[in-house]
Amino acid sequence: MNNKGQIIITDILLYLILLLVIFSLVIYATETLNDNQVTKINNKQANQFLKDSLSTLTKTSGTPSNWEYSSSNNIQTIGLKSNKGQLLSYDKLIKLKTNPNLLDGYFPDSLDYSLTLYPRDNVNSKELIAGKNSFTNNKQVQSKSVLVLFDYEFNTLSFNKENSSESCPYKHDNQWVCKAININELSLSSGKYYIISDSNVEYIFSNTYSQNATGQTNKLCINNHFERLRKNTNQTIYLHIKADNNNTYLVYDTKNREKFLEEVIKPRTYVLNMKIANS
Amino acid sequence: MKIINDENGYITSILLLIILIPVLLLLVITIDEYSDNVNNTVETLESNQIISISEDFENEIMLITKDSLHNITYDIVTSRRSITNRDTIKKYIQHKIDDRKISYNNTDFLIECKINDLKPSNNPFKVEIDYTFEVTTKNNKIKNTKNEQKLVEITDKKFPVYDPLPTLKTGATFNVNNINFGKKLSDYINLDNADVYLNTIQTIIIRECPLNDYTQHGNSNETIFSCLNNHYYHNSHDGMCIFCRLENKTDCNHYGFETFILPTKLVDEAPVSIDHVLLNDRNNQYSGNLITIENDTFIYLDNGHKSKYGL
Repeated sequence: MNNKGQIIITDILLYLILLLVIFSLVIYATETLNDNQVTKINNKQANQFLKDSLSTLTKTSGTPSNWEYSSSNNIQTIGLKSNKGQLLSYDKLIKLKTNPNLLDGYFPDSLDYSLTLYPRDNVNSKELIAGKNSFTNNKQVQSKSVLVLFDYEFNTLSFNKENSSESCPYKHDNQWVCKAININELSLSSGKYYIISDSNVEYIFSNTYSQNATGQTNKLCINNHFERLRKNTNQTIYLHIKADNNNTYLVYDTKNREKFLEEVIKPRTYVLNMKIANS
Repeated sequence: MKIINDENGYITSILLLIILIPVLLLLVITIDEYSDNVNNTVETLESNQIISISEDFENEIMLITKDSLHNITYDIVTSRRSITNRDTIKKYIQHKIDDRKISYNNTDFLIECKINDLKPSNNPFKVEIDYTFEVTTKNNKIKNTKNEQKLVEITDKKFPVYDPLPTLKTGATFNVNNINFGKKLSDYINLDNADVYLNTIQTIIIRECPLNDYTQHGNSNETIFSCLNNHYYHNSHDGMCIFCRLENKTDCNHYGFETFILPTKLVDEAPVSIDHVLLNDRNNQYSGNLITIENDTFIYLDNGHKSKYGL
């Protein structure tokens, strides 16, 4: 530019080169940004799909809500949440594991998926619940995990101390916690009653005829005691537990899940992992 | 060589501006993208919050209902004044819920809850509450609406519900969970040997008897004694429900409950020791025979109640 602000030929050449460089940079940045956006949107969509699928599985009970007892034709959506609370239903998990194709309809054909479960404290014991063990495309795998607890469909009765002016037939003092339950032939034949505690507790079971059974335990199946104390068709049994500050529960198990009894006292955390990838 | 006359530098400025346009566009796109991300995250968080607030508030409705029944029955037994109808309880619960709502409305959410009905259920120890419930974000973008009917137990030990019938019918005095009838109950009874109920003292907290088959009461003295000692209540077609008791009625069309009233004097025959026989209607009282449980514990029952309780 001369001293009057007029552009001369060398200036305009320099200017054009500069303009070209800047435009090239802008075009390159736009293209890169565009490519990134497309990849980002694709990833975001896949991630959202993964997130939604895992949320649906862990936060809903499915349709119908008792789909674990329905035939495959009547199942509309799959959700693992128990109908009774926020935990996941072990029954629903088992139903899904034995019928893994139930989830197939929720994923597009272009996507491979896997749903695995393992205890948080033991990563090596992974179990495949549904989907594929390995993917054909291992480059763009999206993975998401949630921590879950299971409801094993036990009926539990806690023997935690509570303030109450009620007294049991044995007029126990406040070292004891006494509760009454009703049993009959059907309840005894269709399940097992257990007393489970985090330490040894003294127990007395009594019926309405003043007969009783006594002992100490931290885990005991008590059906035999109940059979002996059952004198009526519908018999009320008083359970007296010298509880102190222990965590003690009466557990009624109708599904033969003795191995999970400990989880009533110490719930075990599991990791439910879902992976998806373009096939 | 001068090819463009740009004495004032206008062309240079225009060219610079042209370069700036795509840069500005890129900046706008980036800001828009981030703002979209932020909005989506906020909506997801709000949606999760709405679900947890709904659950929390619904639990509070149950607790408020229990607490209201506890407070109302306590006021009635201490003041000895009945309520005119069930709507009074409904309004009381609604008022408590409105108070509770305010603390939630200070957050980013608005809660609306209306108690539509409060009525007896098939289980006399539970009442049915029908409510409509709505949680919305303040910008009205996300909404959760529900209409629910839930059963609320009246035997929760944390919120004891008091039986208002003895105080309302006889005017007896209530004192820390117990009622001392003094002469009030024997004066209220229209039959011979009414004085067997002189100075009866008992608790009036409603507790459900743990025996599901009532004939088991007669299996051993220990069993019936425990029931009398704890003053348990039992299902009964003739007994009044909690609402009819609160309204001080003489009869009730709902399925209700009954309890024993322990006499203090021993005779061969006296008015039956069941609350609905003695208290519901003064003109329909009747007598029963003596049943001794232990030396100082006895009751009077007619054949119907003897057979019901296996005594």
